This record gives sequence, structure tokens and C-alpha cells, in this order.
Amino acid sequence: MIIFEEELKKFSRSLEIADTEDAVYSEDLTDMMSIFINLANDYDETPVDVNVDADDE
Amino acid sequence: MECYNCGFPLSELGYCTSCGADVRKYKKIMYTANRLYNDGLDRASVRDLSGAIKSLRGALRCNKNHVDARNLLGLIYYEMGEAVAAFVEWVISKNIRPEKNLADEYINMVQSDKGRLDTIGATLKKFNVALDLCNQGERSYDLAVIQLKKVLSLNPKYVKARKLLALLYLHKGDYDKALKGLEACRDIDCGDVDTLRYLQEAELAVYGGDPAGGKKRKEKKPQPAAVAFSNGNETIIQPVGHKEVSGLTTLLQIGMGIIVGALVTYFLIVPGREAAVRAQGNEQQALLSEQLDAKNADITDMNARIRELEQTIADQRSELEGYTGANGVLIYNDHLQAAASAYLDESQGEMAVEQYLGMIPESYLETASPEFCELYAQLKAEIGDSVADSYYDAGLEAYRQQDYTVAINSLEKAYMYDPDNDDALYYLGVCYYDSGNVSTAAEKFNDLLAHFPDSAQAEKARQRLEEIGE
Repeated sequence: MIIFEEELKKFSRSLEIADTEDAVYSEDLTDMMSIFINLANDYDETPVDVNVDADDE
Repeated sequence: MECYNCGFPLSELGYCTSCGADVRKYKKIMYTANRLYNDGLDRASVRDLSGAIKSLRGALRCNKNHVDARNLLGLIYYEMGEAVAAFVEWVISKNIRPEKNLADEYINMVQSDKGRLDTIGATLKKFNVALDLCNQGERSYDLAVIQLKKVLSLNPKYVKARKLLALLYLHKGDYDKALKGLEACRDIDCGDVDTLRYLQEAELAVYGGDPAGGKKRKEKKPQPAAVAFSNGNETIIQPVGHKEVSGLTTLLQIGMGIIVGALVTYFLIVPGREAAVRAQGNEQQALLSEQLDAKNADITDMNARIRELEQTIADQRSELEGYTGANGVLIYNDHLQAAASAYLDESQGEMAVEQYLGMIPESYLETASPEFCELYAQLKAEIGDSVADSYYDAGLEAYRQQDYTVAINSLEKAYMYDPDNDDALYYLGVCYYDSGNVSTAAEKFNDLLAHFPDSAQAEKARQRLEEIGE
């Protein structure tokens, strides 16, 4: 059974043309690669030693 | 694939052969991103756009620099009507890879068409208005429906608007319309969970709890093409729905066809042809009217020109008449020339010269050339004495014969040629007196007394004047 009011809440306003620039700048560009590289760079000059399971390969 | 630490190309080994960095996790993340991108591509190819969006978002969560995943994500957003979300992905993609990027083509494609960009902007604004109306409550739902219909007329593939409209139809209990809209929505994106839920609800309402059954009711049972039955040893196969056509029916059908054809010709073709012929006639009439007007204008000009030329001819004729007519210059020249010829011809005598000169009026001498006047005066002087005597003699002879008219004429000329001839003047007065013209006679006698007071004729003139009473 669909509850109209609940379904209506799922709809959000569309971004308009004028909002494009703000939307580009506010885009969350965080990705796993960045996190990984940051973590690796936190270590000393020694290469990152990550324990990887056999399944991962 | 390159090492995240030194940029050296990686091998199949779990570490970088250049810097020795452990790249196993790095490779795993990259492989995951690629796998998710491939999954998104597969889903998009079967129009599971929602699923494709999730996969591509996952790929970008692993590797934000995955340009292909970002471009495809933008394309899917654009397909679903989310143009601004598409632009965002394409712009970021272009920043990641400025050259040789498909996103550049997409952006140019949209931006080059100003009309399309305006339509996109209007679509998004109208959807937001419709959503605001929905949030205002039950009373605004009808307005929201109208607004959403406008949105879909501008962009029929705007999934979110189509879903919202279907939801409103469901709420109003208009399940047929909701079903139709949701089916269109499913054709665009078959993987959207909300669409499928709404669709299920609509089908439940329309088909009475058995969506599949409802569909079946609408499907027609296939009928056999022919029915076979046995009649004794023979098997007869009769086509279903085939009826024997009788001759009368055929004739009726042909007759109906002819009638229909005639009616179509009469009501559709003939008026069209008549209108075309009428239009053509009107065009020709307009053309002929223009030509007629032009000709009339030409004729008017020609008539004016003719009148002008006729006037010119008349002027020239009158001018020519002034030279060649009875009183023309040329005729006077001819008279003078004839007088000169007569003077040179001794056989003609001075009287002939005088006759020609007499045909030239004194008034003409005022306008004549100096040469003409000089020759005229010279001829007159040459013949003056002789002519005066001749006129005097002729005048006296006429006086004796009491022909006073001739006498007066001759004596006038005699006195004109010889103004010293007092006898001519005296007899001129006598002729006037005897002819009854007493006043003129008195003038002549007075002239005689004035010019020749001591002459022999002066005494006679006085006596005559006394007789007259002056």
C-alpha cells in the first residue's frame, strides 16, 4: 500500500540551470583512492605495508 | 595502470618495481572501480538506469578520476531529464581530463542549442513549482497535475516528473492514467524501485488484484484460420470468417464504390480544382488589369504628346504662313523682286513697277530689313516723276469723264509721287468737291493754300473754299 505523503517526501527539488556552478563546487569528490593514498603518505618514507588476504588478489 | 607513489607503470606484481611501494590495495580499488563501471554500462544498455547510476556512483567512489564512468553517469542523468546533474558530472570530467574528452562534446551539444537550453531551464522550474504545489496540500494537487503535464510536454523523458504525476493520479484514484504514465516511466528506466512499486499498485487497482489476469482479459484468443470437418469420406477445410460473395453483393459493392468515388470527386476534388482555376483566373485578371492600366497610361501620354505635336505643327504652320501667305514676308519680297525685274525690263514700263510696289503695304516697311527698305525707296525714287505724270494725266482724263473714283485714286498717287505738283492737289480737291465729299475737298484746298500759297492754283482754291463757306 502506498502512502502518498510518505512517497511525496522522497521527491526533492530539481537543480536549476543557475545552480549548476554551486552544484559543481559542492560535489563530494572524496574517493577510496584518495583516502588510500593519504594513508600511504602518512607513513614514513618506507613503503606502505598492507596485509592483503589471498582473496583480495 | 601507474604507481600512485612514483607514477611508474605497474606490472602484475604486488609492488612497484620502481619505488617498491605496495600496490595490492591500490590495484584492488582500481579493479573495483572498473568492475562497477562495467556493471553500470551493462545496466544502462538494458535501460536499468537507476541500477546503472548506483554502479557508476560506486565506481566514482572508488576512483573519482574515472572519466568514462563520470561521462556515462552524466549521460544517464540527461536521459532521465536531470540536466543540471548531468552538467555537473560533465564539467568535473572535463576538469579531470581537458583534452579528448567526450564530456566536451556533450556540453557543446547542449550549449550550442539555445532553444534546448531554455526548454531545459523551463522544465526544471515548472517541476519545482509543481512539487511546491504538491507540498501545499490537497487543494493544489490539480494545479500540480496541470503543471506536470506542461513539464512532460516539454520533456517527455523527465522520469521524476512522470513519477510524481503518476503518484498524484494514484492518489486521486485515476489508476488508468497512472498506469499509462508509469509504463512510460518504466520504458525509460526499468530499474527504478519506486516506479515498479507504483506500477504494481496501479495494476492491482486496474486489473482487480491480478495484474497478469487483467492483461489476459484484454488479450484476444487466437482464432484458428480454418475449420476442418468430415463429410463422409471427404475432409472439408473451410476458412473462418470467409463469406461467399454473391453476384448481387458484388454489383452492390461496385455501385457503392462508384457512388462514393463520385461523391469524393464532387465534394473534394472538384471544389479544389474550381478554387485553383478561380485563383488562376484571378491572377490572370489581376495581371491583365495591370497591363491594361499600363496601356491606358501609355495612351494618355501618347495623346498628350500628339496634342503637343499638333500644337507645334499649327504654330509652325502659322509661322510659315507669316512667310509665305498673302501677307507674308516672302510674298512682299516677291513683289519687290518683281518690281525690280519690271524696272530693269524696259518693255514693262514704270507703271508695272509701281503696281508691284503698290502691293507692298507701308506698314510692312516698319518691320522690313534695311536692304528691303533701301531697294524699295530707290525704285520708288527712280520711277517717281514718270509715274506721277502718268497718274496725273490719268486722273485728269478721268475727271473730265466725271469718273471721280478713278480720278481721286490717280491724283492721290500723282501727288504722292510728286509732292510739288500743286495742280494734282488742286484737282484732287475739285474731284472730292464734285463728288460731294466737301469736307475732304476743303482739307485738300487748305493743304494747297498751306503748301503752295503763291501758286496759280492757290487763288482757285480760295474761291472754292469760299463757295464751300469756309
